[in-house]
Amino acid sequence: MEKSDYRPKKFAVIGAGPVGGIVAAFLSRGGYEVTLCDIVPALLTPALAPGILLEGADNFQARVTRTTTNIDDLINDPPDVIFITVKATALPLIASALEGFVGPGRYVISWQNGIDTELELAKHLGNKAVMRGVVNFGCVPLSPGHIRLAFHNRPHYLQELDPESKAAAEGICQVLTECGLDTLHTDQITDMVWRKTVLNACMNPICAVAGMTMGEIINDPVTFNLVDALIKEGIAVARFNEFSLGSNYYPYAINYIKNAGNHKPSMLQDIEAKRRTEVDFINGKIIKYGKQVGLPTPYNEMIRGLVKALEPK
Amino acid sequence: MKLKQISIFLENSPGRLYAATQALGEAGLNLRSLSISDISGFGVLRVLVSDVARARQVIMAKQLPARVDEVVAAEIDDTPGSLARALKVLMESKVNVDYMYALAGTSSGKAVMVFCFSDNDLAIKLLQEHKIKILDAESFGILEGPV
Repeated sequence: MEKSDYRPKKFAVIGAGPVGGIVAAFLSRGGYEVTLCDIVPALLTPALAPGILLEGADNFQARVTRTTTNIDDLINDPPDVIFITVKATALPLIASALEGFVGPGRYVISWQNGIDTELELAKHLGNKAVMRGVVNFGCVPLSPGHIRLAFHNRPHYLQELDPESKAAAEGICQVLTECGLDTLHTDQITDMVWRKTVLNACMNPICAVAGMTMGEIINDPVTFNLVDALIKEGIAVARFNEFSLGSNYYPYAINYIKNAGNHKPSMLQDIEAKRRTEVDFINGKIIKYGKQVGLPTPYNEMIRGLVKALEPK
Repeated sequence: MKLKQISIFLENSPGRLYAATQALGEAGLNLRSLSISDISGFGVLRVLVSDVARARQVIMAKQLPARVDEVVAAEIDDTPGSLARALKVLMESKVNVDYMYALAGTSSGKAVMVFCFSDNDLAIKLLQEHKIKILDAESFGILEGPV
């Protein structure tokens, strides 16, 4: 990758859960100015002192520069780059709040699960300011500011929505990589999103509904058959919509989930914590894209409905 | 000229409407207008609030699924046929009305309609060309940005 001249200095991370905590910790360890933002004050306090503690696949502690519970503070003192790591369901309101942030050299990255999160941002911010990341780590919040990384499969990937922002995207990749969160620039992010989402869609909601870990789901032939059906349904929807998963995606997916380990995915963690999930941006999007091409998605319809039934009212 | 409207998805959850309106009220937010509609079997609460940024914070804290949309408020004569004449202007230019609702309680022979058009900017231009007054946030006493 050619070196980019864009060198952001100030970052903000919206969402102080495990994903946001990880990004904030790596950037802080790299010496960058980081503002951590969340509506829950208890999640922010330990990030300042003693700092966010990561353990497992990565082991270190790092303190952010400042915290805030109000997104509007980011407008008054804008960073160069904002990472959005909250559940996709909160995205429309956050995108609206960030309208005042947009300006030359400023970018917002959807660092989230789900399909079309970057498009939701772009509705309010414009394509030029928006980027999309695809990450591959599993994380569990042990307590506020204390996160266990069950696995960390580098590299991660980042792409701009507007080609004019390519140099900036490459510069951000350089920064992340220097901080230890190895990230490569790509021009295939949408296909990558679908590859990841089909995996998330087949496993996460089953775990959420059954109250089982990934390993438990895989080892149970009944639940594994449901996972298999969801994989095939997701593959069919992706291919009918001309997203490229690769010719070997099915065996890749089976192998991936069989090696997922005894891990609670975020959707199960959300249900256990009585939080709203992001099922609508995962299985819900597969349903939507299926309808666009006239493809029924009964397994996704069913599992989405069951997860919604468990969500807080 | 466009207003920021908050749309809260009720998802037919019992108590969601109460939870949303109570939360906004407890935060000291006035509802300048309000509409409830049914989309694909799920209710949507659409409100114009006195402080958009504050309302966003409240709704985020309650984890309610919501979004902010842009709408247009137009003041028309409160006489038979006035609305149809305004709509004719838009129809002739192929501007569709996605949804609309009336603002209750107005006076002085005027009615205020809140619209979401297929092209809000063009709709505003056309309505103004035909001497229809477009109301801005200040007219409603609405704060749209952070204080």
